[in-house]
Amino acid sequence: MDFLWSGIRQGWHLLVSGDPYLDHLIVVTLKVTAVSTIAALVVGLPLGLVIGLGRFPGRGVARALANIGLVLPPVLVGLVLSLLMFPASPLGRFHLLFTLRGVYLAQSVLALPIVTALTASAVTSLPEGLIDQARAFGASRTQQWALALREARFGIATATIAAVGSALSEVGAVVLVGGNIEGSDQTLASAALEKVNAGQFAEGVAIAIVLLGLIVLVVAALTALQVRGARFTAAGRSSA
Amino acid sequence: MFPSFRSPAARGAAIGAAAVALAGVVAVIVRAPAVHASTTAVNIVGTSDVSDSDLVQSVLAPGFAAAYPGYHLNYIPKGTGAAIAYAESGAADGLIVHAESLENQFVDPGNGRPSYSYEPFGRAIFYGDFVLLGPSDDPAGVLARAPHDVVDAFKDIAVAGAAGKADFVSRGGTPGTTVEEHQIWQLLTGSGGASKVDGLTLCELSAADGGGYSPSTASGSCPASIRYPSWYHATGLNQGPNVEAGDACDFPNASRSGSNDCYLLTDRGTFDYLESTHAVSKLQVVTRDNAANAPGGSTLLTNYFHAYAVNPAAVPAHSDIDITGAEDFLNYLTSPATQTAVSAYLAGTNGDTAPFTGDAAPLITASEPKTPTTAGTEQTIHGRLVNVAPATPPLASQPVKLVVARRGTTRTVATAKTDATGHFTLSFRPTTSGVYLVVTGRLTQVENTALTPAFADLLAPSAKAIGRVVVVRPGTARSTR
Amino acid sequence: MSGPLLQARGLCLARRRSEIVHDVDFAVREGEVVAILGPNGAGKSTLLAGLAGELAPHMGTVTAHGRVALAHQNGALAARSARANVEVALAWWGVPAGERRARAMRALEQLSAADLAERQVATLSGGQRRRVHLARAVALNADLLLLDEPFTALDVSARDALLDDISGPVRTSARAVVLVVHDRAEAWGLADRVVVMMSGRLVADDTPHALLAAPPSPDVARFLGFSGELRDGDELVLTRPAHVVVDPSGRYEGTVTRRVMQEDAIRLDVRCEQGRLQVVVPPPGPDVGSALRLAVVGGARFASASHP
Repeated sequence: MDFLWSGIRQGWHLLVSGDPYLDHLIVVTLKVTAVSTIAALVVGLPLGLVIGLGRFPGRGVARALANIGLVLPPVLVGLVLSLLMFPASPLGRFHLLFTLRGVYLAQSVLALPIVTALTASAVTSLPEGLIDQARAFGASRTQQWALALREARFGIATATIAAVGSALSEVGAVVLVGGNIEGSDQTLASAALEKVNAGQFAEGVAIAIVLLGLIVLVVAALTALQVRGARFTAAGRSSA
Repeated sequence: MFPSFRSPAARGAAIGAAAVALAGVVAVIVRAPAVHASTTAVNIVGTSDVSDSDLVQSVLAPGFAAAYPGYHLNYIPKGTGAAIAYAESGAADGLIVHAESLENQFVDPGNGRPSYSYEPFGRAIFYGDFVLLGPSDDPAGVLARAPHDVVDAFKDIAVAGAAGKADFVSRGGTPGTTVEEHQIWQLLTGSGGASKVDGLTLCELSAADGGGYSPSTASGSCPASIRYPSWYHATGLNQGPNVEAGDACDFPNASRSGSNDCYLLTDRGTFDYLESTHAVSKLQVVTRDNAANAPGGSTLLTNYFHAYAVNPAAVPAHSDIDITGAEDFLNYLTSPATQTAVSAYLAGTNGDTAPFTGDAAPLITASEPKTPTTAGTEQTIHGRLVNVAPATPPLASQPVKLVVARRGTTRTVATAKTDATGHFTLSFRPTTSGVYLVVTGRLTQVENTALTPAFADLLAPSAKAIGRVVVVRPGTARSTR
Repeated sequence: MSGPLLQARGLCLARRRSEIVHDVDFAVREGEVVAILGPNGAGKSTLLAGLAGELAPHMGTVTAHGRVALAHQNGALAARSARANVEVALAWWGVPAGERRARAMRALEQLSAADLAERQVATLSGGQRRRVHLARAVALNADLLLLDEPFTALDVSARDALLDDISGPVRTSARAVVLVVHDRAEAWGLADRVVVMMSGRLVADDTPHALLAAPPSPDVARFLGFSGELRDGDELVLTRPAHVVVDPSGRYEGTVTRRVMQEDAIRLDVRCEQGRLQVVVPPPGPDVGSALRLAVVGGARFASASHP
């Protein structure tokens, strides 16, 4: 089987030749990643803070739900969402099925528990008394949250990377909700799946390699920012 | 994996690179517009056979975009049963499927409910065929003994399988290919559903599973989870990967003869495509084109595809069916240019004929008119109207017209109806010189009366130029222009 | 002088529906430094939380005139520089941005931690972190500063140095200070007034000197280090080691049961007919099993009825 080798060559060729098909796949993949990650952060960070720091009845249940969401099978999420998006279903009138907007929503739903659960876990494992002391020194709710976010930044960066990784590599929900339509809402991962299903192994490998390159690039960039943020916590290089 | 950024310079460089990379990502997102920003999507849900063979990507999507610049094709590949379910829920504008026993219920859901099809019936678009693949050393000897008798070939494989010399790879489940396979196994049963082959036990599948029979370790009705004989493997894979699995033929309890002894049923379009990409190395076609005198007859391995526009009145409110787009797509599919392109797709791969053949419009054969002729002299055209799709009923009692085309306009000069075998006779007295054509309008044709309700389809209008006639006025020798 | 800065009346505090602090009457006046002493589990931290308003009273009232700041026992620092930690605490407290830096530096100086200002917290030792934590508390200039066990988990030298450094700032940084301390020595060094808490109740409240001179009950005395215990007629006599001397003509004859080496002395546990005593002698001192005569030159006397 020399599909791997020919796939690598084909992937490189597609990349350098500026193939519009591949460009479109990359753009769709990055859009899905950006939209879903930002949406998940906007909603998931406050949720994770409330679950991780708050004291209210049902907090354990909320945490368990977030953790369940963390391991929820994407196929299940895709199935439920696509059924909800059928014309006669509650979300039908928004015309989301087989559209990029639907894929944004599905991937955001998948990323939300990732951000929520990992944020909750990160702020829960902050040093005992950190937030209590801030409250005792008069910190407002907002200041307490800002402190928690800042101190848990390594864990929150991990949550962001996990959400980005999920968006880059997700196929189950994307295919069910989006329909895996070439030129519309097909992503690199779902295109690779389609190519392999159709027996186009070299094309599948080519796309997978491009996807892998994109993942390395994006995650390495995020990791560098994470390391920079963590520098203050870990290494003592003050000259004092 | 990542450097530890010991020196400030290295750290700065790394952060800079990260920032540039993220900025690049953002730029790509912001810059690039959607490919189809200005065109309307026509959502067609349909069998993955059409997309897995690359027909959609290579021919239909670019062709439709070129022919109807306001639209682009969104083809959503699903199994036939699933595709119909999506269409009935209003999730798509149109449908491409290949299962007459399900399509008839799409057209007539019963209980007085409206048809899910916007048109009276589905449109014939093209047909393909199923082929039996086997390894090059062909341990069951199928290629030599039964190249055009698939039932006999199945029997040979079962016997060789029981002897530990061959394996059969099924997709399992209820995709069209498996249902087809179950119909073939059924032809090896005698009275009471008992197997006619020594060493082969068959169980009967329910109508909900598509009917037919499957190899099993116990006879009678198949249980929900069938226990297969050791030489029979159900993979649960899609068409392409299933062929690849048969090519590898690497099953834990595969028969003892070593590797490379798997047989499987697939559609020829997929196989031709896989061969063209060299994804298959060991498998070859061992049985195809079932003979008319073989069990099951010449239709047994034929695979008819039909296309539908979804009826906006039948699906749930808010469905937002783009019926104009769907109709445009059907018109594009059945247009002569598309039909020619489909019939040419992958033709000549491995010296084979094309895997898909356009059958949207019937074929007209007719005798040539006499020319030159004196105005008002009666002549008769004999001809026949034939459905391109093989093994279909004759086109009986269908209207045909004879028209003359002159200076861009046409005028009907004779009409007739076909007889029981599709033959027709058109008598006319030419008064005008011009090109004479036999034409048909859109025809409704009942294809399968064995189903309830009977299955019918629509054939696209067809025209056949039979010749230029020069009419000479009586008493003069001068022809009109 | 106007009324007390903080006044608790009939205060009962509960955690998880179980009452931990019972019926406390307690007041802090301007200029006072009050130490709350008590064994583990006596409810000291809970009382402090109640005084700070973190814990709502189960019964009773707490009235404060002015802002109260509570520095927790476990005041974790944020992962940033020492100065930034103090500055952010000032921001929480509501100090305008322009003043924070100077006040933070001043507080760090007061705690002899100015040289740590730009150090990352992760690079600081436990004692250094404790200084930064206390600098945060001192920098606030709260009306009433509550310190919960400011010296726990420090080695002796670090604790002594911190004690030295904090006694000044504690007095100047707030109009009054209440500290919960675990070790009596801390209380004697810092406080004007010592409150002893046992099983959720206040059982003593006086100056350090007065308490040591006349503990109000045997339990308080025992807690304050009155480890010798004799029955003398109708009286119960409790003594600290300093109240006992070796005297050949002493009234009590006993046997050494245990020798405990101290830095420059030996503490002897002596059992005699009337009870047991502890006495400190210079090395080498008698062996275990030796006979000894002792005299008692102080201690607290209680009527026998109060003996448990």
